[in-house]
Amino acid sequence: MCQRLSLNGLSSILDETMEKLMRQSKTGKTVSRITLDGLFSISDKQAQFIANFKGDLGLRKIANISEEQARSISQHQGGLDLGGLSFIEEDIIILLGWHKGRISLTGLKTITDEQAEAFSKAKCLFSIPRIVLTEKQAQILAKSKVMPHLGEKEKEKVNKYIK
Amino acid sequence: MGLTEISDEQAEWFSKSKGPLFLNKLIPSNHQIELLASNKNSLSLDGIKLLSDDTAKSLSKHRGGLSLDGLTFLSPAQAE
Repeated sequence: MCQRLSLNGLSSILDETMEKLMRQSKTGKTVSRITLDGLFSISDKQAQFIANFKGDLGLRKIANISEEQARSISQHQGGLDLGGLSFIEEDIIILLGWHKGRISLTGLKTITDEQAEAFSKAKCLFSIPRIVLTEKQAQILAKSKVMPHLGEKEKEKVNKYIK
Repeated sequence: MGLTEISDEQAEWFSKSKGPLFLNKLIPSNHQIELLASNKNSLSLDGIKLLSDDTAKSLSKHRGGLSLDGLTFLSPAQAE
């Protein structure tokens, strides 16, 4: 099996197909990266299969994630690109925060103070490079367990509050 | 612009070429896919819209990066 597989033309996928794709890494035929950047949504079942995948996964068109799906996805152990999410509930951030790798949320531009709190408690590395922080949010993020990857200006804002 | 067809001899030449292969206008025969898939570099065949099970089997032997962004459907058997 190939190392990196790009299937960005698929706008939907059968549960069984997702199961086979995500299972490749268990059979010794390692796929280190699969991009499914055309998928608009995933089913709860598909989120469970993602949990088994050990490589990087691109899901850049997904516009919404349910609590159930976030709970499953947090078991995944690679890089996860969810750059299509332009809004994310605080509860979902908390659930995704248990993920064991990196999660890219490049679609997020603003967050609430509660969401900043959720990011600060995460155990995974969130990448939120487009977010513009208020001073209060910078202060909250300064106490992060795992510092999210921020844009240069926002990083400077947060650094001011790190003792 | 891009190659829309190649001969088996050309496919064989491509199979030995170094560096990534971008053949995104090409819809190769199964034999040509077998040859192209033997190249260990990245292979981009985004012109393929539908995959037969035989083609999927041939592509499964490819070891480098594989781009099939033209596909709009992938069956469980093909994903296997």
